[in-house]
Amino acid sequence: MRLLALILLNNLLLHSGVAHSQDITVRAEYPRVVSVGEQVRLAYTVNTSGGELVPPPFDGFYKLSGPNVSYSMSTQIINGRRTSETSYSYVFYLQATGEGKFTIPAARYIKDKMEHFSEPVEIEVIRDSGSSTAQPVQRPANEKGTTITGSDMYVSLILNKREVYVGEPVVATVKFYTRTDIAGLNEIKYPSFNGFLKEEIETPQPTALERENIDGVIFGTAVFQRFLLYPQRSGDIVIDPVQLTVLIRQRSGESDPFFGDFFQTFTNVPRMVSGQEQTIKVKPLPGSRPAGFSGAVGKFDMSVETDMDSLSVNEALTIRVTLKGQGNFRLADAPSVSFPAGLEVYDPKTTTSVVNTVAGTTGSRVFEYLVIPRSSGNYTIPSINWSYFDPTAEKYHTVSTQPVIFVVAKAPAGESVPQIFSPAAGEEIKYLGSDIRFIRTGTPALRNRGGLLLAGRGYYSAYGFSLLVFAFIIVLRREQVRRNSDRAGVLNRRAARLAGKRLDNALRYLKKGGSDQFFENILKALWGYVSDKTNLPVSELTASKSAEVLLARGAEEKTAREFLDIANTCELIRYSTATVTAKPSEIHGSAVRIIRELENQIR
Amino acid sequence: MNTRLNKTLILLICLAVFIPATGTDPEIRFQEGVRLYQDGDFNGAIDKWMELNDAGYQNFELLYNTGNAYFKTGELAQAILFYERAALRRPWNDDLNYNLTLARGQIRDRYDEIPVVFFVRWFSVLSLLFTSDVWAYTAIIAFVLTLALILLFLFSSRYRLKTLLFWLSGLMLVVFSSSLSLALRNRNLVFRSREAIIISPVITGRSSPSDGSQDLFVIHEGLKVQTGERIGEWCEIRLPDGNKGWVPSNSFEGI
Repeated sequence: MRLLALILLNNLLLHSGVAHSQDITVRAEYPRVVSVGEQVRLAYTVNTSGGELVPPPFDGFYKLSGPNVSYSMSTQIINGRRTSETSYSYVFYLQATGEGKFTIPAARYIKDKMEHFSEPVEIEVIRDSGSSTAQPVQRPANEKGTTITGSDMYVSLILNKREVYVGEPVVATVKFYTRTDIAGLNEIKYPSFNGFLKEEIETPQPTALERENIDGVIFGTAVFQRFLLYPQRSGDIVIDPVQLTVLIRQRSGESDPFFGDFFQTFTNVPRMVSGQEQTIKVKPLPGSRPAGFSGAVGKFDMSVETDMDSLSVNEALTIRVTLKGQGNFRLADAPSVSFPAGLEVYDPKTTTSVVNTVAGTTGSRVFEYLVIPRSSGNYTIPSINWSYFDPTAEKYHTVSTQPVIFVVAKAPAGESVPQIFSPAAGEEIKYLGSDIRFIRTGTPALRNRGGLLLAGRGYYSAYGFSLLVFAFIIVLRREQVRRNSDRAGVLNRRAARLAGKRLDNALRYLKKGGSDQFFENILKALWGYVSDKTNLPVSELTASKSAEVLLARGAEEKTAREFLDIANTCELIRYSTATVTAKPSEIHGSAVRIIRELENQIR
Repeated sequence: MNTRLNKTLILLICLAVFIPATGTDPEIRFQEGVRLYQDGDFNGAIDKWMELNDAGYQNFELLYNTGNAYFKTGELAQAILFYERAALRRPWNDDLNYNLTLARGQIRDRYDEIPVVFFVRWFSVLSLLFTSDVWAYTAIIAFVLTLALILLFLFSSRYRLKTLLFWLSGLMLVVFSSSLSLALRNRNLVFRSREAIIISPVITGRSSPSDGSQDLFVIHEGLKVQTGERIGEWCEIRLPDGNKGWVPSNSFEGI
């Protein structure tokens, strides 16, 4: 029993907690435009109870009655959850006294010593030029058989922009204006919006007509629908007029003579209302489009994520590319992802979750790629670049993602690999694209190009110079040869005469008794003769050498031997103290004979 | 005295620091360009490399990289121009030929070159194996050697040596004459090239060097043409298919 009480208490506390946490709002309901002398209903609604409303001073208005307090409470039980709403309404009836714009300050609501404020109330009071009665909207009902003129009722398509870029959204509002009482709406025919991608903005269905001051006339207005229009091509695009059929309440028959208007009968008369054509100037996107631009206009952000960082071969991996932001999502193509080879990639699954608002379409578009790696290794999906046009900045932006890196391990050993190894089934090399080869990165020995060698005169003069040297050397050599051959000839020709002279000298010394000079002159004559004949210096002539030379020049062997014998004899006599067996006159005679013989034999 | 010594010392140290720095300056700029290219800033890389080009550096790597950077920025005509210039340094380079084919495939006009007779092509490629200067040096050295061998031939008295020297000098004469002709060929290809690449996006070839004359053909940027006679602002060009016409001199750039 005590437990139950505790639970109950707990529940109560919880509920009061909920009540406390709920925000207290003070909402004001009022018509925005009234005519002078018209009755104005101003209601403040509070979503709680137990407080006190302090009404503001109603400057410019005369308070007819109020506050009339009403109370409402609603309780809902949905799936066992109970929610209750309480609301108090404080209604004031005021009467507009003068023309102008009046601001009634915020009403205060005091509860638990906390003050809550409503928004200030702004009411425009005009002298309604369209009608003399205080309540114009009810006027046609009071007048029998009134024909409704075109200015009483019209529909318009309000565009927030008249000049846009291709893909930039335009908010088109279908608004209905009336001064007559309408019973209902039969049919709305919206334009076809050719040349636009049309997105509907969720619009609450009008429950009551809102009052608006249009050029000094009070109209009841209702917004039927709002559209977001994305232009698809450039140029002046004409939008067809909006057409709608409304049912107008019209009094039928005479008013009852007894009961007056009370039992009056009304019929609903359909009437067609047509708006006007509208033109939008659509500008083409400026400048050159960057790579990766697919027609997206707005403001976007892009991110990429994977569900795994590491997996094994043949497992599936999901790569999710998300575009987030505001713009024409439906035209945003999937960003081109360059998947590395070795991955089996399936077409992306596209999920679009967007909300259309007056500001444009916001939300996200997700491209899910299912990827199955067929071979192991480290994979890097390079950063994805995607471009869009920002109409407010009038510029292209490129968003990039981080590269995605994941590791694919080899399939576990136990697992049967669904792969067929057959020796002949080599896969063709897959070529993914072509690009120029990469640059040279090594530092070359950069040398400045000097003057061209062939162009210089110095190069050709080098040829001339070497030719000159060549010719000079040849001339020099020829001269030397000529001179050498001359000298040899002379000596050759003079050799016998010179030898004879020396022999004569020797004979003269012999008569004087100078034995030494005699042999010296004999030797001089002999060696000198050979030297002159063979063109060899005396110092090089040894006995064997001279014999060889003499034989080479055509001397007979006997003569050469006799020549050497006599030369030997002379040398022996001259340089040693050996006794002389031969007479000097005999030696002289044989020397003369040998030289004569040699002279004959040598060429 | 002491301060002057100090000053001299500081000056020497400064020089020692600065000399290697200025010596490697073009290499540093080249590498800066490489880094910019790798970062994707192709225009920045072009600026760096064009500075070097304008300063007179004409290496194969420099020309090839500049061509690549132009290709990446979409300036096909400039890319082809630099590839063709690089092709005069290393016509056998595989990467270069691949890129040049790719670039030619993207220009508006179909490129079909009249094939040159094989030995002329071989001769050209052989002449491009070394620079003109190298060939010229070879030629002069071979010439001097020929002369020296002839002299030895004349002065030697032994029969076998004489025969050997005769053939050697004959060989040297062949080396001399071929390297001189290769040097001249190289110079004509590289420095006196009559080939040019069309730079203007679209030009009309006319029958005579004046604006009012008959239009003969329309060619687009990137096409390789032979230039001929120049009269004032006009130049006669010959298309790869042999047709001739007059175009403004500023519409092309020589290779």
